[in-house]
Amino acid sequence: VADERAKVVRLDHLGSRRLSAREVALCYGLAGASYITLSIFHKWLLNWFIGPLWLVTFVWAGPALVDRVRRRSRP
Amino acid sequence: MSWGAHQFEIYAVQAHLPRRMRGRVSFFGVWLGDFTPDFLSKFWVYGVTIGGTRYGAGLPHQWHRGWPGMGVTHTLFFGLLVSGGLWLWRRKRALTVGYALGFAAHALTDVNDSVGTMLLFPFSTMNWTTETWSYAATVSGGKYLDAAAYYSSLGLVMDLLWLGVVLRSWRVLTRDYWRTQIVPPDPHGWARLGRLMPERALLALYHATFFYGVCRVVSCAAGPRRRPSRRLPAGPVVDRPVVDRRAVAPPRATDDRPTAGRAAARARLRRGQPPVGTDGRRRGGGRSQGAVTHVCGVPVAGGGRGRPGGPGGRRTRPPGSPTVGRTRDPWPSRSGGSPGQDRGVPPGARPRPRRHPWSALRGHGSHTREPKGLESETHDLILAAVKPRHRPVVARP
Repeated sequence: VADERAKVVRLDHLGSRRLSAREVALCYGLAGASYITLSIFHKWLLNWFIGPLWLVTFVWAGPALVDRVRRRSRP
Repeated sequence: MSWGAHQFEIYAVQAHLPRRMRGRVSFFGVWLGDFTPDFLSKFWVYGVTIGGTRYGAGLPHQWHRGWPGMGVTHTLFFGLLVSGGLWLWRRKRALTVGYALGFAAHALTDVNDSVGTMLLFPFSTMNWTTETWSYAATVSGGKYLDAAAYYSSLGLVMDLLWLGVVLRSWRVLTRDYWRTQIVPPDPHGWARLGRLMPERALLALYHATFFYGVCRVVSCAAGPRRRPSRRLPAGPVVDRPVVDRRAVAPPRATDDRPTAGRAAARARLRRGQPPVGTDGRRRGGGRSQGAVTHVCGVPVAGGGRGRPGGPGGRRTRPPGSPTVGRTRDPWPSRSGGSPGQDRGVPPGARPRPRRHPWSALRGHGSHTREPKGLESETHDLILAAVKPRHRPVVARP
């Protein structure tokens, strides 16, 4: 029962994995660092649309990609 | 205008709602209300250039905040009007109240720049301003000059202040807060998004505006120092004067001459002699006023003070002759030659004394007449600095 409950807590309403606090910090940090670095050199990236989309893409697609790569690399 | 402050204030509004309103104000409403004014008006302020032709407002500050113009989109009246329309359309109190709060936050924050907003519209078209920083959206400088002006002035402090307010209420950014306070007022909206996105993406969407605000502040404030882009001037912008009263200040502020030249000019000024340019010619028409040649390193077209075509400079045309384009003398009444000549003062009448544009800023007199023939970009810049002085100043002890 405890395992079932833990599994439910780890998954959200779509069955996606919930990120740990460390993973969240890593995602947000990477998104922020990359966006700031690139936007310093390319000001056109500082955009109402691109900025929010950048974060959502990092947080949404980043962990999914990492999970997929991990699954594939498993023997 | 404010850059990062608008991104932060939506979270600040959410975090500082009265206790009985918590969990009952729509975040989407606040967001929409806060960004509606700029969505409606800002695209034309900077304009777009297609095929070498610029399409945009000729007088950005007039378009953005003035009347006639889109200044009405920055008024509390307009916010209440749209909120009323939302109420009639959707009958959702959370959305209506959120929209009104967000809109009011935007209009009140924009009071701080040197153009201000028409707070009492439609009863009055006066712009109310505290003149905390300069409004610097110009035709030539565009978005990047505006950013440089904002982040090299107290605008940066304003952004950091709002950021501090949000960070002080950091709980507003947590997942628990989002689940308990943000989602309940907008159940349908979040549920619709939740069919497409996982929870972490929904939470990222909630944080996205804050993220964008932080990145924008850091990038705009630090970027030009690290690497000058093609549009921003090389070197630090923080210590460069921008469009404000300093733009018409003594030569060292906006002069493009090398340091040795400036030192020599200052030495001449101390001796009571007019300054001499690098070409050996005298600058200025007797009084030593700095030429507005560069604003934040961006070359400014048209004549500045002390240059041909600029106030106080040499006349390049006989008085009264027609003027064309950028060589037009923007302030004929204060330029060299006989004062009052351009305004048709009858012979023998006592001409009006020449007034320095700063006299109004210092409270020594009134600068009530607007210059005619505002075509040069220099003039736009000067106007942006001088025009707000006609308007009432609030929040000044």
